Amino acid sequence: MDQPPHRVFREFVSAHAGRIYNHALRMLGNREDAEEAVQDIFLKAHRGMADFRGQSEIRTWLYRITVNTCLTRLRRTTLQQVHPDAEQTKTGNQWDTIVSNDDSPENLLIEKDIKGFVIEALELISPDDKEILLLFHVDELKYEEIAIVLDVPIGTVCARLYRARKKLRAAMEPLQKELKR
Amino acid sequence: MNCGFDRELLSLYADGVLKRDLLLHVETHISECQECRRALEDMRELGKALNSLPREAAPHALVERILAEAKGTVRQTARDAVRQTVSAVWTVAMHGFRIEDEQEELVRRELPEWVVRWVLFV
Repeated sequence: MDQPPHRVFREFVSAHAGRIYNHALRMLGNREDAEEAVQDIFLKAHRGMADFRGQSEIRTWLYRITVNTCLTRLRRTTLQQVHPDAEQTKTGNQWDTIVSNDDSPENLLIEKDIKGFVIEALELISPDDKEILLLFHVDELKYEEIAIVLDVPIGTVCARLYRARKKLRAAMEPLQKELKR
Repeated sequence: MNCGFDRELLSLYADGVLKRDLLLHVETHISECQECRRALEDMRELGKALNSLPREAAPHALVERILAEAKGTVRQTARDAVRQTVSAVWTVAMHGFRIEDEQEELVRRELPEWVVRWVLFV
């Protein structure tokens, strides 16, 4: 079958690049790797579009490529790098721009702390746990979509998501205790 | 301390994916159990924090690079197809052999039907 027309592919990239880039950035921990991965992901999608028969949503299909590409890259590299935002949380520069609905000073402080801990703790849990948390909470995929992306039954998604949240919580605890000291 | 209630169920409740009967079961429990109410609040807080992590726009240069690369791939594929066809025709003309499977696949995929028939004698 033919390759997608360039205009169609341009629209496809424009529509999904932001989310896919952020997903890769969180998974891989640095911009350089994330950019390489995103390029790889979209070129795979470009090659595969001709064979895409619409068995699943195109978004689900793209996330499937994304997950596989990121996990393969992570397995290939033993180099552990900290997400750039994790560094920024220590000085708090990015969080100042985020405003919650209730912007009382106390609430802003609590929210800022929780996000900072979440970012640091995300680097401490396994890639598989991080992956499922990002798919559900950040990329806002439904349980059914995650099941397709990860090629597992929905029951497994429920169990893995629960376990991942527990691990993230556990990873946050020592960080929070350290701050209280 | 743990009241023994199924926390995975509570987690599904927090995600809003429970069916009505289980939903009522959880709601009844949390109306009576402060510990589970706290756990639920904690799950929601965590979800909210994850959902509002900072996001960046994909660099414009990256998007342009992807598009240029994809365009280049299409051109390269077309060039390869022509090259393979010429080579296939030459092979057939000179030696009367059937072309290699790999070449045949490419010719079938990339070229119009009449060229395929002509090259492959089908």
